Amino acid sequence: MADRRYFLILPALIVLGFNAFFPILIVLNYSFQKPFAVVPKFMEFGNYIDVLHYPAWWSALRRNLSFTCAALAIQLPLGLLLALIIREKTKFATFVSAVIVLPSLIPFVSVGIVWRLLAMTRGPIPLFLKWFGVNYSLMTPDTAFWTHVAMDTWHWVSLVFLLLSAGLVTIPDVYYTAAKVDGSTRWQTFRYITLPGLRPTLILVALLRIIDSFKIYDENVILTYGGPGRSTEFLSLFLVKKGLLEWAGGFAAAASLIYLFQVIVICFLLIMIVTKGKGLLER
Amino acid sequence: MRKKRTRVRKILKIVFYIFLIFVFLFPVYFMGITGLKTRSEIETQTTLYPHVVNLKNFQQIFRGVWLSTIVNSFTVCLLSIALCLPLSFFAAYVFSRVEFRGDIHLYFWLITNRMAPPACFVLPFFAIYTNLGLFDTIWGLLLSYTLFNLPLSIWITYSFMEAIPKELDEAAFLDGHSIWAYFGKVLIPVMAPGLITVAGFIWMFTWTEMLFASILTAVEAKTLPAQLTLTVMRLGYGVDWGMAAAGGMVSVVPALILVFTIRKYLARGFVPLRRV
Repeated sequence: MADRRYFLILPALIVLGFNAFFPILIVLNYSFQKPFAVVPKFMEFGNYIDVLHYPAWWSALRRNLSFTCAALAIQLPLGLLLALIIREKTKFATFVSAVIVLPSLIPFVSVGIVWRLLAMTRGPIPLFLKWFGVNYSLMTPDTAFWTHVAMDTWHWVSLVFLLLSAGLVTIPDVYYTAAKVDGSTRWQTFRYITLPGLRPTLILVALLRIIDSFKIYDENVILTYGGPGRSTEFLSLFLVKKGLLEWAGGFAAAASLIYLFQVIVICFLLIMIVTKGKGLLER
Repeated sequence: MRKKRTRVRKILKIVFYIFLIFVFLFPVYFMGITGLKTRSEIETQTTLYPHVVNLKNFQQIFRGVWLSTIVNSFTVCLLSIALCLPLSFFAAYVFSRVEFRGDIHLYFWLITNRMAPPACFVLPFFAIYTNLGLFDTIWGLLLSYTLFNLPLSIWITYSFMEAIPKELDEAAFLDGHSIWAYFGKVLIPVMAPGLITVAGFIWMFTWTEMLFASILTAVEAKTLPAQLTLTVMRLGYGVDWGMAAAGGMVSVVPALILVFTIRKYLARGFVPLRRV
């Protein structure tokens, strides 16, 4: 039987080709010229060199990287802790886990609004921190950055929790029983049974969090719009401002391609690690 | 002695749970009550419940511009489901059942589209959609959303499809069913819960999208997140936080519905691998 079923994939491919492949060609084209000028001109690699010599781009990139590291360092242990504590199947525990998951389904914009309201001059966060003698203001660069991290944690720790809980179920009970019989301590059980059992899930969660926190845009716009000054401008916002507000098309195109390249390389490496070089199709 | 300790632990656990509920629900609660406050109360005091209840914001949500943005958001979500669900069903079927050359590379390319930062696509999308006359139309929005909707829904559908034994295909074909009859009579009914979940996720990702919505629309096709962004970004008059909070509250409702309907499958939406 000649297998012609693969024609079924065509509609999806056509739509995606138009949407994902064609635009990349356009960006590629832009990145070598000065597209919206009166006299368009060919720039060779000029735009790329400009991007790599642009201090604001470097600081946005550094900010993105430190944001991703901070988010991972806080969310992974926290999510693991929650998943380990909330393991019982009582009604109350189920309700609590539903509540924890809720933020990950709220539109990003609304998350931004929620946190802006909390962190405003007259919001609950400054008020609360005043009790402890801490002066909090969204208008200082460091505070603004860490508010982003806190917001991201509130938003996405649920994802870590959700996936790790699912991962915990897959560790066979027999292992725990055996450990109990052998008289191992709680720490040993965690270190030599739970942690190795969760390894694949942990790597996967880390992958997802790295990629999603690298893309942060919506909350960034609502919470500070890169302010104060440009001190919390992340790469996505930097790109959109450059491309659509300053109309520096060639520059923005080159910067987008570099950004895209970074993400794809990270993705590729991590997927190869997760699946041990087999790729994502499991056959 | 031992009994006492377990009881203490139980109480500690309940206290911890209540703390968690507070941490995760209080911010949403605060947004809700901000929508119910009067503007002067928001701007001059910090109150944990509205001293004067003001229903004006929530009334305004269901009128004029706000209503049309909500309607637009709904329309785009429904159309996205109608477009992406069948396409991803077919594509996932091919990835799951048919081997062809380069399938792994094609699949990886699909996944990278889920991972790619949408900000990279802003410039060409703006150029393409304005040139095609699709700027500020629902159709343009719908088409641009397939960039992330389609890879995602193919990914999730694939994971559900893999759970269904391939022998089912062969049995159906041996019985002389055509492929369409097989889809209609066997595969789709078997996969119904999975497909509903996929639809839920398409809904969620479309409902929350803001970047393309704020760039590809102006008046006619503006969606709720774009309108919210505009409200928060407006300078000059000062931001109407009551309105923003009320709008934000409305945008949370579908999330509330989803969290209790497809919660069992939620993990699938983020990591659709069988292993997890």
